[in-house]
Amino acid sequence: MKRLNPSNIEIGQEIPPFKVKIESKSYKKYNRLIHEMNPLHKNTEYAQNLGFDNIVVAGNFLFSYISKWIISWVGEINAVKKITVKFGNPVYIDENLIHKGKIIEIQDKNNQKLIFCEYQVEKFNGEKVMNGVIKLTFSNKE
Amino acid sequence: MTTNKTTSILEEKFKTRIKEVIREIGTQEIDIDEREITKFCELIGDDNSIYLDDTAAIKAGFEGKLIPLGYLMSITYRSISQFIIIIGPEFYQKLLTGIIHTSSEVEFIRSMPLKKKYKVKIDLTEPVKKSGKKGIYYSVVFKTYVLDENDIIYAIDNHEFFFKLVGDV
Repeated sequence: MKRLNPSNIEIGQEIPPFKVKIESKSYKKYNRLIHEMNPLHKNTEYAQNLGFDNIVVAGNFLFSYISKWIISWVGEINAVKKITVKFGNPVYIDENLIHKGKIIEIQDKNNQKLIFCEYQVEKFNGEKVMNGVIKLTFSNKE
Repeated sequence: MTTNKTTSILEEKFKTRIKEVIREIGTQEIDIDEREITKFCELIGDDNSIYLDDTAAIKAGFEGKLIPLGYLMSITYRSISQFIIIIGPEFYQKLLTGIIHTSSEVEFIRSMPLKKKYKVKIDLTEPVKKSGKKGIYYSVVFKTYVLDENDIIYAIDNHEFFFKLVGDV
């Protein structure tokens, strides 16, 4: 995996977007893997009774893709220090999502370069699903 | 007046019970095995070798294979899930009309070698009564910590939930 060179990062720079489709088969397998108990994420009737169109994809599953996306870009797991997530519209099975982000702040502090990225996850129709900030830290010796 | 009094009794009952349940759940050991991580990586299409291959992880400077950062919320969520399972049948429709997970903040303090044993500790903040577009609700932050056997913290994962009580419009 290629490591990102922090000295080449600039404010306003965009993170390469990442697209993913929430496949029914994978999501069901994930639910079994983590022993999902919340019926909102498993039972269509229950979800519809609560006013949703269908089973709602759990935030923790969606979070998996944010981490995967950012680590693929940075190329270094230890650089990722913090991820905040604000949940918006519900995501349903078989929907397509796009992850987009850009650098909003760079700080040099105690021999470290701190990079803050703002991101959002949207459906292909532009509906907002999640947004937040990712904090990355790099040693200035590199 | 009666409505206000009823709401205040419900509010007190809610605040007391959620604290009791969180205390009951407390700290729990978690078991994460290789197969689970391999399966997770396969499901989200992550082929990063530091999660799947000991040699590659050691070469990258780690003790061995790591737990993916993306799996962290799935680990801490177990304690919150347990909370919802206890509180749900007890309170739903009698005391609560809705629970919404609104935001999370995950702090990665150190990488998590797969071969280590971990535990998750859960705590919560005092419910804060708020009012917004969706009426009156209580904001509660579940604070979860991933620790090893020596109580060294590996990650902190805070989840904010909104609880809507019966009678609060």
